[in-house]
Amino acid sequence: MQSFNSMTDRDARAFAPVVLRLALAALFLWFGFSQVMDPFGWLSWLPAWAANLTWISPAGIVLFNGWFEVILGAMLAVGLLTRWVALLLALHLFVIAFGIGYNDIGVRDFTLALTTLALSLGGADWLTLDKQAH
Amino acid sequence: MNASTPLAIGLILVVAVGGLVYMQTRNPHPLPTNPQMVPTDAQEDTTLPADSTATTTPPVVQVDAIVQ
Repeated sequence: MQSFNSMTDRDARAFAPVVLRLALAALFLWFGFSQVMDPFGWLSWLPAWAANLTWISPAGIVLFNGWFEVILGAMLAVGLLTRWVALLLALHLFVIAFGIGYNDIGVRDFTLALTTLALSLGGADWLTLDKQAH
Repeated sequence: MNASTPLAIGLILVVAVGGLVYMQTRNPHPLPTNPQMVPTDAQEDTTLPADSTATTTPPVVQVDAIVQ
């Protein structure tokens, strides 16, 4: 019984980083695809400082942001450059969270940014291209 | 296990989420909005209800004020 429990615990632990990575990948993919398919529907989320940052139109910035999240979300899903992609996405989410400010959505995004940072710190798990390709 | 397993899992996830969002885009519902980024000078809705004209009283004109 003791060995069965420890074996189950070991197997469960092995899947923890996999679930974390795929869940965060799905998160970034959902928001990325949503912005790519309907950039005008997300304009209300674009802060003024970002809209005035470049010559690109506000919808263009949403579109760029959407593709950024789709590409990096896909890289996270397959586990390609997992540590660096997660770090980039964490920094990206920290900027969004601070832009939204102290409210329910901002607190949630800040926690998701910390979660993504934890994924970066953990690095590539056993079910990533990073590990399987070598 | 080789590299094709994580590649397959990742691609399935990308296609599934992309398909989900695509279906949602075809059958849209209002997205959540950030209360801090919605313009605060939005016009107040002054539209009267359809049956309000029946009970609306005309404004009282101050005749004395006009004469003066």
